[in-house]
Amino acid sequence: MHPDSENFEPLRRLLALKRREQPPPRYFNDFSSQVIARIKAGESGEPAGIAWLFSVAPWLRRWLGAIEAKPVLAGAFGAAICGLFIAGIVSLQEMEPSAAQGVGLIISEATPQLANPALVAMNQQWDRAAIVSSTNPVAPSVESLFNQAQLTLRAQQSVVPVNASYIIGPGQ
Amino acid sequence: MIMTEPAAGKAPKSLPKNEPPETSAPAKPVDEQVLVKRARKGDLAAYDELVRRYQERIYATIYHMTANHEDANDLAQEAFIKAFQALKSFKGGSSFYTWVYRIAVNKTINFLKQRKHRSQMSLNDLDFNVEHDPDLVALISDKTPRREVNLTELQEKLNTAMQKLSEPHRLVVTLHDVQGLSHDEIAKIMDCNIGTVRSRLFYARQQLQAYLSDYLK
Repeated sequence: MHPDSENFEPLRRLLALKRREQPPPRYFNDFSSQVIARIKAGESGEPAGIAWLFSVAPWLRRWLGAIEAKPVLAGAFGAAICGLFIAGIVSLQEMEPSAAQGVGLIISEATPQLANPALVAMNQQWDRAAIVSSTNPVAPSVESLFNQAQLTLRAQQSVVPVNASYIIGPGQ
Repeated sequence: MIMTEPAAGKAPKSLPKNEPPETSAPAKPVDEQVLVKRARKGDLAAYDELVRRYQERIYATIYHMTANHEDANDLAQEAFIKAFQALKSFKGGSSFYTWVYRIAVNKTINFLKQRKHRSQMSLNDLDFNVEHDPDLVALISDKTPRREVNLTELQEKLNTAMQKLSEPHRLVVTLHDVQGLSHDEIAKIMDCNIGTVRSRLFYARQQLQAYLSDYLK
């Protein structure tokens, strides 16, 4: 029962097609580094993703190692970050009023009528009216449209009760 | 680039297409035993070189067994990791190449036994030169009764037929007919005698011929 006793030549030629199946291009370029990264991850107990990150950016590991070795460096780094943060906040506070002034200036230049105190007051009234006419149901001083209609009806009834028959008409 | 090369009696010292690692000598490739000795002491650069030497063949074997690139990638990596962890127990009775192969094959067979119900194929593309391979072109245009079949379809049929074989039979066909290993090497890798390898190969070929009869007349 020798494997070559039958004619398997066409089959062997067909099987040669399997040798032509290729993994994605450059697949093997990173293969060994991935294996090594996983081995390192296994040794250090760190997740494979972190190990991969360190393999891609080795300076990150060195930097973290330096910080770990010299706590002064960690303190300096923390102080630098805090300084940057505080400087950011301060500069933002300085920028805010000037920015607001700038915006006011732009508005007054673009629409000079808004700078008029009378117009400003009118605008405030419009704003209030806008709040009143909003759908907000908790506005305390506002009566509903239904109440307004009732008041109008009551006023009409109090003024025109005698002539009511004329309005309704004799035939009705 | 052909994925596998026919193996000689011994594992080759290096693959020409692999770039030498930074730690190895610039001209002459470092001997495998030296690399193994260094890797056993925890030298990862030496182990990196060993991985580079055999990654293509190990990956290819697993890929032909699973017909799935992602599975092959995972299993090949795991095989190399396991080999590194077990390097201290490597006595050197066989070559490192055969030893790693055995680890990869055992891992793959265990995996295939577990995934019995999930056999989705994820096939790699055929290389560009396949269209110019006279053997394969002849196989399609002259020998195949179904002349309308294209190479990709043929690849799919071939892989489907391979997946119908049992794991030991698929492994023998893969190692011998696809990767070109000798019966002796296969016997060492599969930890069986040469007679068993021959009989498995014969049976596997018969099975494949039956499955692919439409494409082989």
